[in-house]
Amino acid sequence: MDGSAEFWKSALSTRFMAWFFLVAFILLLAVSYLVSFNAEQYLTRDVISRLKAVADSKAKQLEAYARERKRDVTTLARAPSIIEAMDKLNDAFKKGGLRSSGYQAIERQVRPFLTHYTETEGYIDLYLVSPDGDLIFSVNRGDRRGSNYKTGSYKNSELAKVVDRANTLLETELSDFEYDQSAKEPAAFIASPVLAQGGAMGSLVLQVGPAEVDAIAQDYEGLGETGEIVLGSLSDKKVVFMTPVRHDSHAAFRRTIDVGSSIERPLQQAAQGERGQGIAVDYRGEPVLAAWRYLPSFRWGLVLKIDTAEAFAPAAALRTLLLRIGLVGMAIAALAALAVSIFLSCPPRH
Amino acid sequence: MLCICVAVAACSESSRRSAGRLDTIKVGVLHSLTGTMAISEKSVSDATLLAIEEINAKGGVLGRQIQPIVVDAQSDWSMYAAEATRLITQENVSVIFGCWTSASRKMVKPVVERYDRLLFYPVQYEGLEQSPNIIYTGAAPNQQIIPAVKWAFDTLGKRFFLVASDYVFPRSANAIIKAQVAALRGTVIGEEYLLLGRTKDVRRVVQKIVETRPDVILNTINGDTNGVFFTELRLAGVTPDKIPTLSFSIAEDELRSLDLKTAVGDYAAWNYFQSLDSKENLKFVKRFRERYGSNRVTDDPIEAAYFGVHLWAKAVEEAGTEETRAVRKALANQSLRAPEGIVHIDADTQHTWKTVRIGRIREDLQFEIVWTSNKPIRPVPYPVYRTKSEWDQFLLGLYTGWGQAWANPGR
Repeated sequence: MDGSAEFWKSALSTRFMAWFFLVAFILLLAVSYLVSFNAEQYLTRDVISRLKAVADSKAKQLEAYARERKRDVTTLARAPSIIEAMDKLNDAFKKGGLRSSGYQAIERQVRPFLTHYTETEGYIDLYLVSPDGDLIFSVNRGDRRGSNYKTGSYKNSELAKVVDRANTLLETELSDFEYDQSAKEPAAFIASPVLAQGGAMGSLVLQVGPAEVDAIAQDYEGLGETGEIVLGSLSDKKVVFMTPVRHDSHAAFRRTIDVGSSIERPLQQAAQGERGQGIAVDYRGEPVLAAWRYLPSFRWGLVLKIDTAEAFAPAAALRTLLLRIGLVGMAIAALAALAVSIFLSCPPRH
Repeated sequence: MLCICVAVAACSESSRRSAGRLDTIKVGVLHSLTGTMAISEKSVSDATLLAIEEINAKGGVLGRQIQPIVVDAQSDWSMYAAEATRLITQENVSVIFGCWTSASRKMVKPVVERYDRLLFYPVQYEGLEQSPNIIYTGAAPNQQIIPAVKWAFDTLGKRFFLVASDYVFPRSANAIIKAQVAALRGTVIGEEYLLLGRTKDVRRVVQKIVETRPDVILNTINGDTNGVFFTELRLAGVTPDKIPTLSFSIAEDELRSLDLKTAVGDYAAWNYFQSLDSKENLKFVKRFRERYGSNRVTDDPIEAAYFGVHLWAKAVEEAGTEETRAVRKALANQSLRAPEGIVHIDADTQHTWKTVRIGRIREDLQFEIVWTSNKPIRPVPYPVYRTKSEWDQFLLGLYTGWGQAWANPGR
């Protein structure tokens, strides 16, 4: 009887301890999982919220840049010196063309001021276009003077389109950025109608490079180790990268994403006018947290993103810590269970 | 323990969802379904309801169905104010989609401002206005009137005759046009107004056009008077090849309703035409016709009303509430791919970036696009020809001149 009782006592305590151990183990796993899951959820919300704020801020910066540049050109187009230069050049061009002494005298007279303005304000070039579409002045592209932007070979160029739009809307307009072979960098045109008492006298066009846009796009402050800004423009069925990106300094006008492909969906959506936020796969195939916006002045999509590996690093660290605590806890629980088991299985001494 | 937690969470989620199913978001749809403006506004109301149906079919907004409360303002401007008040105070709508004429919008504006609700206004208008409680999805003057006049100046001629309905939109539009034509050194050789919905003086106005022989007629007549106007023009021998007409309030739906074969060959300026060949537009036209009949057409205000509802729904989802302040914030810089192309809400003015287009009326009463800006243009509600305070003074003059009304009462 004694042996049997001891056996049952021992089996009961072992089973009791086994159950205790199992329940503790499950609870530890559940707590680890729940804490880690909640941390990841919280981090997603927090990071997305921060990405949205920075994306809005970057979009605002870029739109403000476009607005300021347009304002500069509007102001210049209304300056008496420009109106006078336009008037005289138009007149001389009509009377004798580019080779006439009259035109050349006026050209020599206005060139220093226009060259000085172009260089000091950081533009690539300055053009004056007559109401008939003739290019009657250029600071740097003398070879293009005399070309007609309504009928000639340039009639479908970005410059021709922006001049037509500015003249019809009677507003200052920004063209799309395109790669300029002569400047060897992307460039856009800003055109403004020159209006005076006598009505529309032609257009003033300034050509601007990508430096300031690139500077805004390549400012990674607060974006951690992997965060970056991608700017893309829709062209046929592709989205073309417009600036260098953090992980590809040669991306501008070289890297493209096919519309409908499974990568870089945020950029595809943003370039097509949608805005949003969420988890996606970027152009490198990396999972990222992203917020995306549409930039109406440029007709670009903007994506602000950070690798999920970096964004969720605190959750991963927490998970590792919890697992370590769990394992130590399990070891302590095992030792405690063993001690209690031995204690319970020992026969009473009395 | 874990199971209990999961079960409790599941139950609370389930009860939340079932509670959501019972709850709806009420929205007001305020248009004239009868009277002189019905030919234009009925279809705009239909487009609003179509967008609501589409959103509801996809589960609604914030998991709740949208419940439209449709009201007929009977082309009576004072009724717009009364019905807007009733929609907000008695029906408790979160937002109002509505109005066509500026006279009606001017009546609703103080109501939505007083009760802090949003009005989505879908029609091109004269500008000279900006309200924190109105989202303007139609064109501002620089997105329709100004480019159209400049295009006409460059393409059709420099001598203009202005013919218009006598209320705030045409009066303001013509003030802008006259300033622009003067700046371009063109000439306005005639300017005539017709009481809204009346046809009595149409023949007299056409006679003046014949006498003055302008290069272009700029037409801001609204409503069914347009039918009589074009008939009289043709009877007087005025055809598009001799004196073309450029209209600002005639679109595909007016051409269909009035069967305006007489307008073929003339022009109109809008941001959207049914003939636009884009994937989004083809889908939109197909859905509209499936819902309302294959004889129906879409046009600019119809499309602007349609995407306005979708923009609002996106903003509500983003804000997580239908409360006005949060929705207004979420609407700033909101954008989407509309049938007309990408539209974007300008954060500063609450007007919409839109692409400008000019079309010529074809035999099938659709438009052939003859000019486009090719990209969305930033809205400028106050044209540069006068300062904001001067424009405000101009509007006040009209309002007081008409005995505290936004349309000539004709007394």
